[in-house]
Amino acid sequence: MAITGGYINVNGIKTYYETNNGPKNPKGTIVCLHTAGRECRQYHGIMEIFADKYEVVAFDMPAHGKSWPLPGNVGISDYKEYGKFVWDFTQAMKITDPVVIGCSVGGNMVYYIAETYPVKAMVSMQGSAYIKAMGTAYGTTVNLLDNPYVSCQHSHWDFSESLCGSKCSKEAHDFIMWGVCQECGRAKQSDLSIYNNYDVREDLKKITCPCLLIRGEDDWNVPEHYYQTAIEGLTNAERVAFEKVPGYGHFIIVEAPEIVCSLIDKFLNI
Amino acid sequence: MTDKERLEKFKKLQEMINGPEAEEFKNYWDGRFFTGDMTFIFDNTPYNMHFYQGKMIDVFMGKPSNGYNVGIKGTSEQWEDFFKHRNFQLATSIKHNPLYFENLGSALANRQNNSVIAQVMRLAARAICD
Repeated sequence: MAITGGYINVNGIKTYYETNNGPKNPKGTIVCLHTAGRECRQYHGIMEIFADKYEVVAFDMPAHGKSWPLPGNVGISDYKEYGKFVWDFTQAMKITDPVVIGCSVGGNMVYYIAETYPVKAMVSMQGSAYIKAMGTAYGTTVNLLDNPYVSCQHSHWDFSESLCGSKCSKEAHDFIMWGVCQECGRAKQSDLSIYNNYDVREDLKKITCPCLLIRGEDDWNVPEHYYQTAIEGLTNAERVAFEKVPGYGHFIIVEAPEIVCSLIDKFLNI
Repeated sequence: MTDKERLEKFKKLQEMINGPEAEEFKNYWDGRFFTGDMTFIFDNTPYNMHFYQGKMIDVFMGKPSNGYNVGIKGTSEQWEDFFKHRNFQLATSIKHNPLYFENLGSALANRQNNSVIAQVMRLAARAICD
């Protein structure tokens, strides 16, 4: 296995990253954003498949996985700060040609990042440029993730289970659910706070890079209309592709890395 | 379906949860930790299930004497919709579903672990529909 890990200091935060040590490719260096509450191991499949073709770098956001939290033992709960941290990570890593790909909250964040920073291309999976306001009931749910009576892991068991696609293998499913077991309430809370207050539709027209949108169609949580809204807003993108993948769900990067890699490779080589 | 006919379906559900579904319910969906009342309301009719460590001890029509502990309240239309997709998260999502169910009891009553309720709802769908 070609994957190796390491630490780099990003704005004073010891940040854990992994790379497949793949070859430099003129199409860009792939930088991966994990889903809410999880960490960069979600991209092992993609890193392995691309080992001979692209350099792929995945990292744990602050308070996730092996990365240190922010002062006060919390994660980033503002999407602009989140985007800035991602960009600062690429700069610290001296990545000059980032193709930023993300899934779930990471799939949301790539829109803001592509609006704000000069990325080479973006790939949004199970993501959206906005999230419909979920009201106080959802806010209470998020707040309770740090309540001493609530187990973050157990409170998300059925939710994560419901997000897996019908074709998800047992191996992928087990890793997804292991991800639930390892979640930290405060980290999850930070990500879901971003998720609950996200709307970057107004600036979609600022995106000029190529944009690939991938949807695992079994994901009930991110319906297709979110993608259509983004596509309508991407009026100045160099090109936009929308790929639907039947049978797979919200964790498509874990569920179907072969398909995701095939779509990304095709997209980058048009 | 009359209220009493539905009660018979809940008794079938009791047999499922205490029999062939017991292992998965208790060990995968955390049922073994659940002791207390769980109530499903169809329109205005409550069906109350009393559990002891994941075993359904009793089921009856009516409100539990100590008030609602945990459960779900919905109209017949909401339940019919749930029976089609059988996705608890979708059925209770304010974000996705204009006909989302009302949760009974406080979020802390089951420490925000809805896995148990979700699985009982899925099994209830099987008992009532299949």
